[in-house]
Amino acid sequence: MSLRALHSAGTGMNAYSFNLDVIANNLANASTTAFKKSRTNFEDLYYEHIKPPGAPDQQGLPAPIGIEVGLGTRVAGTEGDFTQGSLRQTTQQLDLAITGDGFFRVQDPTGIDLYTRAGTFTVNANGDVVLGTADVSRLLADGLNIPQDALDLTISGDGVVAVRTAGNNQLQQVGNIELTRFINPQGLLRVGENLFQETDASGQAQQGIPGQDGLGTLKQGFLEDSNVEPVRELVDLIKSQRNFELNTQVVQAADQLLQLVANIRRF
Amino acid sequence: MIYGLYQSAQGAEARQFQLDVVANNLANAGANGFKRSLAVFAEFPPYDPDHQIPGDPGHNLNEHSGGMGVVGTLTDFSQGPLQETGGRFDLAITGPGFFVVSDAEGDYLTRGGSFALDPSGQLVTADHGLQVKSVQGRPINISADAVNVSVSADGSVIETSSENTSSVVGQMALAVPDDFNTVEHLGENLYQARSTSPPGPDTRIRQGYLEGSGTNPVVETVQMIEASRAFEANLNMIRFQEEALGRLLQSAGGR
Repeated sequence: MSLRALHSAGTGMNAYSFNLDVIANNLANASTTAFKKSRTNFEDLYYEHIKPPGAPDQQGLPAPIGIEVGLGTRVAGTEGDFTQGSLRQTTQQLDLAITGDGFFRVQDPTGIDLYTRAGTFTVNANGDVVLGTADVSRLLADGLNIPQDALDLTISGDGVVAVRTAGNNQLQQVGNIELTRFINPQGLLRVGENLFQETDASGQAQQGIPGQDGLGTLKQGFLEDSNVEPVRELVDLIKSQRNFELNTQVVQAADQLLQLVANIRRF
Repeated sequence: MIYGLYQSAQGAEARQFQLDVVANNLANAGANGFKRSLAVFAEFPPYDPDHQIPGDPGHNLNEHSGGMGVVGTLTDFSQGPLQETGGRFDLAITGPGFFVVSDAEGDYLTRGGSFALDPSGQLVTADHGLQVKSVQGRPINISADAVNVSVSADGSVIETSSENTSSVVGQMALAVPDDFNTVEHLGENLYQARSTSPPGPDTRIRQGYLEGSGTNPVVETVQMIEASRAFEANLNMIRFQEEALGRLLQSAGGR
């Protein structure tokens, strides 16, 4: 014996607790540099079609409506929201923010290209520019070396890196920073540590000069904030919690029905 | 008296079905563009159960039996609340109508307006990658180097290139079913209609919004209570009739 209601409510409880997990992660990353929030999309499950519309009714006449009942809900997907976060000024010369759709391309020690918008770069002992998000150094993929005697470092909006060395007032170009964009950034795989990886769904990486083709320009001395809006997340949290509660009510009602049936012959 | 038992069982069964429908509505309280369903009950006309002739009432009260049952489920297609998301490909419809999406097997209708681009730049549903159709029945393609994409109220998709020139790449098809009663739920936020027409001027698309679920928690909770109480009442009726039947048999056996 089973009630559809009990199972449907179970799927609801599952889905809303998953949503809570997603919201919790968003809120936990409310101050992570360049964090992109996620949203849970729900969809209804399969419908049991008990009688198609137009089937003959009790008197043999075609019924204008059919009988169908849905079997609950499920999480259809989690969608990344890649809207721009606000920029925060820092004092670091190698802090870079992107205004636009692009990503920085960095190279994992294993040689895999990874993408990030968290432009917290530093220079390692060799003078190479690395992403300073973890204890593992991730080189900027196109390679950028800063001379040991560099005093001043400027990065223009279109990615030209220039330094001034001691005893030389002239700026000299030492390299470029290029940006990458994806036609479907939602299809990128999140690998943690602010990094994304290309997948079949994201489309191929398109490399270009900052400021062109919607890649966005670079802002030196700025970092992009997380695009989590705490108020919105809290509203979603409340909604999710209440939806969960409503589904527990259905479980109780269904349980009560089953109990009544079980007790029918007890007198 | 035995007919009463059947009728009470029918009543309980119908209420159980009503609870199933309510459960599905509440489970989908967070599904974008979801439309709630409603179980419709009707009494069956009296007929003569001894002779099994539908539509022919018995000749005395003892032979009357009708009962009730679920005759259908209606879907409440009324407008759901709009939620602002700011997403470029989050689209909500105000007014009657659906987006037309398709896979290899055919066309479907949906109001769950969370779309995305696939790797080839085609506009598809975010969750299952179903192609969004244009009024010409073609897919809608966005250029890889488009800087911005906007969707106007009539569904025209306009992309802006990096040189700041705008061009219309297609107009999203919208469809209104000719008969809402026969629209079938397929699940996964999809519907299928037998025939559709283009919508009137009242139907508009809003970019950066999603239509929330049409589930109304208050209505559903009331229905849930109603269904459980009516189920209980029917089970009590079964018990009373069983007791009465038992007493009758006892008194007959005592003679």
